[in-house]
Amino acid sequence: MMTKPSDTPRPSAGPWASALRSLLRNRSALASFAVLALIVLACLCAPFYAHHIAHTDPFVSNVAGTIVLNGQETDIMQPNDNPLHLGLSPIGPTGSTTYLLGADSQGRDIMARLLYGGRNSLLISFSAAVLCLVMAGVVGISAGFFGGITDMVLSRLMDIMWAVPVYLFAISLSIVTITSGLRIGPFVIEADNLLIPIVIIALVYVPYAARPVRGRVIALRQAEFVTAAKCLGVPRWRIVLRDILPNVSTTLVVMGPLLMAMALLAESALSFLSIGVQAPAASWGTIILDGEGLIYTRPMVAIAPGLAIVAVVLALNILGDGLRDALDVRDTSRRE
Amino acid sequence: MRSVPPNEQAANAPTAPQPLMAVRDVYKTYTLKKGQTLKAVDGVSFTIMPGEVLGLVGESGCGKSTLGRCLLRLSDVSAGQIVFEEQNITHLPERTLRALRPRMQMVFQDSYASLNPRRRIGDLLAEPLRVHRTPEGTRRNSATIAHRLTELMELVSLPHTALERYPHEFSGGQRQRINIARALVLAPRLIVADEPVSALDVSVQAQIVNLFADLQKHLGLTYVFIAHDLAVVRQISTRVAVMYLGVIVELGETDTVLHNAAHPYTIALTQAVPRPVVGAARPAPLRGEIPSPVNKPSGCRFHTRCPAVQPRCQNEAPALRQIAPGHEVACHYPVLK
Repeated sequence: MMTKPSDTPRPSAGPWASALRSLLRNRSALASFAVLALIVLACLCAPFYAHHIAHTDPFVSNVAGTIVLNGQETDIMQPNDNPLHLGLSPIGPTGSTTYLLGADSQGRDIMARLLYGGRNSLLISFSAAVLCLVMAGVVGISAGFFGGITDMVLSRLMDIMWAVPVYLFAISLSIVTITSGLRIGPFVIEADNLLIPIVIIALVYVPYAARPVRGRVIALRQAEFVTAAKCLGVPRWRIVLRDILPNVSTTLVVMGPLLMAMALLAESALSFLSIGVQAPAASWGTIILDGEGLIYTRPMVAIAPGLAIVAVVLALNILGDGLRDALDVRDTSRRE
Repeated sequence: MRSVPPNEQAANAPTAPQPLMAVRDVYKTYTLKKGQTLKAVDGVSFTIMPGEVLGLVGESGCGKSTLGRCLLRLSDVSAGQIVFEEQNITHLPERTLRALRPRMQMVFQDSYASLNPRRRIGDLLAEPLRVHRTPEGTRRNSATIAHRLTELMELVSLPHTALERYPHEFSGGQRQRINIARALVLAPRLIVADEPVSALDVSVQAQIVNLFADLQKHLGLTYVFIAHDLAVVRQISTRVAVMYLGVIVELGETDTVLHNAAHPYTIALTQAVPRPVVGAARPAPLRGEIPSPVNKPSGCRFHTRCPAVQPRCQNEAPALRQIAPGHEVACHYPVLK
């Protein structure tokens, strides 16, 4: 008798594993992931850069300081000869390790502040996106699966939030909390705590994420495998966790990067309006605000954080597209 | 006039077999948007004895699938009574019903849609074993579950490696075997099979029907086997119920219904089964479409298409009545041989 081919073929890849494999074949998604990883890594190295490369404290004003440029001692704040902009203007890009991208109007190193600001911007947008997905998941699944009065209440609530322009909503909430912080019973969140922008941004985007989740769950609730689970006597909460959630998780994961991109823009907008991250802490939005007054003389102050935002938002969008293609459940049956 | 279930005649004799399920005057009405009502199931009564296979046939839209779902309380019934193992389950709350679920199961038509695409077969089959306690009230450990899954794979003739795979890696016939295995996990007494083979290739259909038949013999199962094809039902059923627009028009032993049909609709159905005989005379097919269940014809539901329609049929709905022992027909003018 001939030798039989192996009885135990390799275990089949799960949906996540095959999605990862298809994502790894997607070059533009990989490239954007590399860009994101680079930016995150650089931001994580912010203290190292400030103390060991630039040798400055990016949170302390340095209006009277000097810097050695081309062997000459130069004032960081220099007289402004532009008739429209009287007074002092900070140095522009220097190209040396100190003040690589020049200084802002308080004589602080832009590059160091950019890295520190990136930490806050990325932390806030990432946390806000995750928090938003969790809330949207709970709201969308509850509304979609339980239907009836639960759906009515939740959907109307989402509609009301939807009706308010998202930035206006975020600005209103920020203005309320910025003066006194947030008091929830015995818990007090100080006004300068990053949790405040995180919660606000997550909250205003919940309707945008919850609605597609609800739609997907309504379709899934009528799926025959849910009826089959019911017929097998599986309790409802277990159906939600084991049958509904895994099928909705792709929807949530695909929304993740796009939501983070929107959250980053919202955070920058709030910080630009000085109702997001509070001075002396930095975020890309606050640096743009610093650069607003210097736009004619030292445009790099506003351009550098602007470019950082554009790079991250673009990379997140491409990554999100790649994820959507990789996780498209409809294709799994055809892929292999 | 309704047939008297056998258990009512022999209520005092404990040795007499009790029906596994008794269905009494069940209605399922849907309210549509415009205030119209759709009576998908319009007063159906029958009993199923243990070990019996009741074939339920009828055209698409006649309410047979809806009835099947009502039997297992996957849909709530609008009126009537469903008794399972002498317990009235018509209005049992979901929580109480859950305890009965292990004994009554369903096999669905769409073998792909009824398996969660994101879970491995082993995980899907283990789910009911994890959810339900044993009859002794203990939880099953993983060794017991693994053992049971191995048994099931053998029962439905699938390789053991199938447990590690995902639903999309199987063919339609294999997936239907998985669905059957899942229905068998908890060793049920009653299985409602809702057109389990109509989505399959003809060659695969025969295999799956044979599997149903083998399992029924070995495990002493009882089926309600729903199909729109008499040829499929013929192979497996002990009795056949023919449905038309929400009502049973004929009910009897398989041989009787197939060869001695008394209702003009059943006769048309049996003649529509293709016969492998060269030059066999093709009977005239039924005229027209099945009427909308929202706007049912008055009198006998079938009078608009009946080849032997009489004036009485347009006004008076015939009740299901016994014309021979175990043979019931709902027709004013049954064809008697």
